Amino acid sequence: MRSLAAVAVGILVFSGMAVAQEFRGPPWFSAERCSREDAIAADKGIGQLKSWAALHRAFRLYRQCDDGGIAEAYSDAVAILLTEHWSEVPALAKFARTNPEFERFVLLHINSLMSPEQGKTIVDNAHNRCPAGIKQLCGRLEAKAKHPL
Amino acid sequence: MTRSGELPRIPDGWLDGAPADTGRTDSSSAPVQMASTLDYDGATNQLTLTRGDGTVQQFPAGNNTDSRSGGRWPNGTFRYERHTTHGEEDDSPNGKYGSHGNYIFTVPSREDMGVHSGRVDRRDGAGRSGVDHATFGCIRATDEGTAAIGDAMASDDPVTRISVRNNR
Repeated sequence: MRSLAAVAVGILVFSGMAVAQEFRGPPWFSAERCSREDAIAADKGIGQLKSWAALHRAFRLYRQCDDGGIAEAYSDAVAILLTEHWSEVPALAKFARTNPEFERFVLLHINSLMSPEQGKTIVDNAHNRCPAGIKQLCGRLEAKAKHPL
Repeated sequence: MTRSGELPRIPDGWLDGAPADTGRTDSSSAPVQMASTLDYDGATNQLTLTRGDGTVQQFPAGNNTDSRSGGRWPNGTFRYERHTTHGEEDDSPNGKYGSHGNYIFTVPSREDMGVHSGRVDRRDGAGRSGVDHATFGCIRATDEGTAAIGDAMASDDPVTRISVRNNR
């Protein structure tokens, strides 16, 4: 009887691990914690993601909803900020210092949704136009942009 | 397979032949309203819209997801949730959602899983464009496909669910 119970527990643990391994999305995403109201608010804010401050605010409020169409907007915003607004990268560095998970969020959104041209621009910016004092961050941005897939 | 949590949400009075606000009880003489359905086949990369009157329209579509995302849309049947639009820049042929916004369905353990178009002439990191352009989970269709969904939504046979198969 005891051995049967042990086998049953083993099966449950194994199947739980299998389910846990199946989802590969961002670790801060949680369908349980992302309410319908959160998702609607995150969607409504997509048009405002034009600065690191706005993206950091969206991350703080809605990171639990980082999936599907919302996540696609975050990837687009990261690519645009790092290519068309590179001069604002010190703001990213400031938020990343106080909130390391925000840096991981930004790095995760340097991904295959950006164009090859955007990838090259990020590599060029990070390598040749890195402001003083944030070389390590530039190195991590460059490394991710070189391998977006 | 249809799981209990994924059944289409049918508004009160729908499909019963007697809209709730008429107060009629004689369903035999009432008009029958039908829902449209969407089907996505991951093997053929095709989106099929079946209207309430049986009319079938087919469009190319893709579900190429980024490796850091929650992955492709699971197989199953999922009810329609809501539609989002995002302004001219995002909702254009080359924008991230295409010309007609995002038609979102309720997918268990996922969020904001929709059908949209976009990126017609813009390559992703793997060099793909149009329906093959990467997403973070959404099905990417053509502008023609999402326009047809929009037409159904504005008519008396709106899309109430999507069935996804051969997508794992």
